[in-house]
Amino acid sequence: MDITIKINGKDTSFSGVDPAMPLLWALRDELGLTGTKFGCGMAQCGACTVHLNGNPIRSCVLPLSAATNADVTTIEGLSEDGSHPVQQAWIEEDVPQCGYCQSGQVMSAVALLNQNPTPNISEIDQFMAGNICRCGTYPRIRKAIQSAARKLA
Amino acid sequence: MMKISNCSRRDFLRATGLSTTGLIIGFRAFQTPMNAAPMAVAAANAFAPNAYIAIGQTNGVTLAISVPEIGQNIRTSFAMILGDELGADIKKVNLHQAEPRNDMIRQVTAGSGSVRNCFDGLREAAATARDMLIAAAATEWGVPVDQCRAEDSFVHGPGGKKIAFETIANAASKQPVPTAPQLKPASEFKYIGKAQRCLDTKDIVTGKTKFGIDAMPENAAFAVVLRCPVSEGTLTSYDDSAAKKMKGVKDVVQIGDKVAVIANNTWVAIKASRVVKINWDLGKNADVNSETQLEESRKAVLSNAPTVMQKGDFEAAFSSSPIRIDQEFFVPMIAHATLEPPNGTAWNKDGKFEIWGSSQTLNNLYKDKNAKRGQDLPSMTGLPHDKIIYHQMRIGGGFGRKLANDYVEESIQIAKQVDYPVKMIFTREDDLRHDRYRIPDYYRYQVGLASNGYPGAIEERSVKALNKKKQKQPSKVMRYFSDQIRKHKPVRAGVQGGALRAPGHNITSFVEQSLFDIMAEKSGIDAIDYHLALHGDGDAVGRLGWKRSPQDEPIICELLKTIKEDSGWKEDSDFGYGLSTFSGYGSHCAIVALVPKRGGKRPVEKVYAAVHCGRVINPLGAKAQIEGGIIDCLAATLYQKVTLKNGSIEQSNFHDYKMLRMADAPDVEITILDSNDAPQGLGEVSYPPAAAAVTNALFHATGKRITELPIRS
Repeated sequence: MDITIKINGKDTSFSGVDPAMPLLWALRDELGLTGTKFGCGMAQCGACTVHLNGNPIRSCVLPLSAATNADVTTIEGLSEDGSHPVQQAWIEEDVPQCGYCQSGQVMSAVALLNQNPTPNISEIDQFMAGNICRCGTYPRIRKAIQSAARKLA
Repeated sequence: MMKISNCSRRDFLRATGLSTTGLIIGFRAFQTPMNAAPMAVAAANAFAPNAYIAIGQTNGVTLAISVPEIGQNIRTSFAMILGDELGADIKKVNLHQAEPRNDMIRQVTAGSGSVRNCFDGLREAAATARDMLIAAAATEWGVPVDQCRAEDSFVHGPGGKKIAFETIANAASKQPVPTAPQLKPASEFKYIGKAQRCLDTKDIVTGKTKFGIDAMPENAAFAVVLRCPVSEGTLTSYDDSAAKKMKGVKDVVQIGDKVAVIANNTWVAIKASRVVKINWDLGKNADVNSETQLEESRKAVLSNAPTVMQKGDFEAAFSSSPIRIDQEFFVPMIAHATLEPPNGTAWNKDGKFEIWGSSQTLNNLYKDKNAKRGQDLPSMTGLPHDKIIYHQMRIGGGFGRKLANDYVEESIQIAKQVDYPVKMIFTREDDLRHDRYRIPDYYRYQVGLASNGYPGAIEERSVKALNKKKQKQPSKVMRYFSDQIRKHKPVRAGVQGGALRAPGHNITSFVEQSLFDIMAEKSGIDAIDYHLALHGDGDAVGRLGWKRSPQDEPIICELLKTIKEDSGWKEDSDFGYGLSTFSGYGSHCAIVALVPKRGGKRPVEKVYAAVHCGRVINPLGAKAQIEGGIIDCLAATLYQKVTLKNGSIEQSNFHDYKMLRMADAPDVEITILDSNDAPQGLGEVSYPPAAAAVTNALFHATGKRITELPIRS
């Protein structure tokens, strides 16, 4: 069965794949979009966060069939050149250490600011609860989200 | 100090089989002689004065980053060090993650050693190149070299003359090699000591950065591996017929006592691995249970741990001490849980091997003289170095896990049996169940103090789960006491142990610093005052009425005074304040944690750290390491424990192995003392003391003394 998904603005067809396959593996193994990361495979860590019709989802548990005809944005599609205000804030606040979780963190942060342009600290903590950073960059992520919010205001 | 050796270009070319028009100077390697470096990548037509630097006529300066990048931000730190000494604009420097070689100072990320071991050598390598560039420009202009300087990737001469490094590179390669290049004084540093944002962030936040798991050679297949759930168990038989029938499955291969399922994508590989039927011989560790291990340890520390060391007369000193403490501690087994799970990609093609890895130790992969047998690429592949291409990728978290190259080896073992590239990944379940764990420790201390709190007698009884009967070093707490006795007993671990961020210290510091807090409390002395006296502060020693201090550690005393002021020690009555200190990796750290007495937004509201680490290369990166170490340790302190049941790890993913999440992360305020001393280690120094700072704060907030980790089990 063929499944068509609009990924980063481009209609992309998958043919002959298992419709139960999580979107994550289609992005990474089939399309080579490796910016979206594997961390747990059970929606516990957020490393695989992408946007489905603008909403943040964990692509490691979303079956391909559930994304049929949807609009998917990955970290690669957020901006052409890293100019999204959240990406800029991440650079300015020097957020990453190893960097592995940061695609997911950025995608969650963008979704947060789309829904709530002026989040307070507890709202940030709560919204970002699904994204694990093993290196402990949380204080810098909080700062970067606040700084991106100011930029977007 | 590392020295540049002057090895002729011809010798080097003969050794490496390279043919370029540039001059290549051998860089005398860290403890290894200069010999063949077949994997050397030297750009054609480049001025490549040593293994670190190549200056090409088209692409400018390339810096080979010798040590693996695991998020310690070494790429940026090394670029800064090079930038200052070479006079290069670091925004224009290409950073190349070096392959395993034997002519670099250090190719391992461990022991907080990246900067402290490479600082001098990298500067000398850069100074050599700089002096040759300057000499070439001076010759071309017919001016003395002392009228020229290198800055912003140009050589500048009198009268506003300037020439780009890449333009003069070829001429520089013909200059004699300076025997003792002068290093710049610190007053001329433009980068070192100033906040520099990480040079890789833009690539990271746009998804361009390639970690090991992102290696994607054309036509790659994807594999997962079935491993015996019990350590050292063996494979009896397996039936892969159902798996092989699944659409997308390419091969199922046996690698030693493991079975690898290879498919067109990772999802199919995972699904197919679930239908492989396997019979294991679980082996001798199948009876190991964490619960009984703990009971055995408890019994052993109370009764039958044999004496391994004795100094003075503990019994007499202890029985006459007016203040006596008897305290047990337990620190559990934990897993690394690097967010990028272990993985490896390998391609066995036409008698050669190409490998993509995210390893913390390239020294082992090359076969450094300290490498473990069989852990080098020639042993793993059966090929000589010149038939191996290894790409070192960025590491998505190491914490010591990626010092074992088991995942590189597994990927090679799989690739040996097929003729296409294979990427093998650990699922999170594989990762938590097949780690190289921090294995548990059990301690019991009996401590006798004078009525003024002065430390007199100590008995340490320890039990460590070990597979080998290795003698454990006494913990550093012993050195504060004159009369001491040490008893130690190993018990069977049942799993493979390994290094986890600040190995050893991450347990003993918790024990020692908890003990100090108990000693201060039982003596009725404020913790900062007590620590000051312990570490040699004259005023505190006088205030407490001690004759002398057991140790003389002025840097710790300075940090204690700094952190007392920074934290507003005990000023806010809504919080318990906990103190802890640590020295290691050449650095020193004092931490104060604030825990709310009731309620509160976070389990730990705020953490203050004061650090002495010699000269700071990059204050931003330094603070990230200190902050990260504290938060990393907080995760272990609050939540983490892996347990064995019938020899198998019970936890499987982040639902039952809890990670720290944002709401639990305190803000961390850091002061780094100014210093012109040689730069020291920062990747680990804040981790060991963070645990006791938190548990001590919890005691002062609630009266509850935590002596068994994690806090919330």
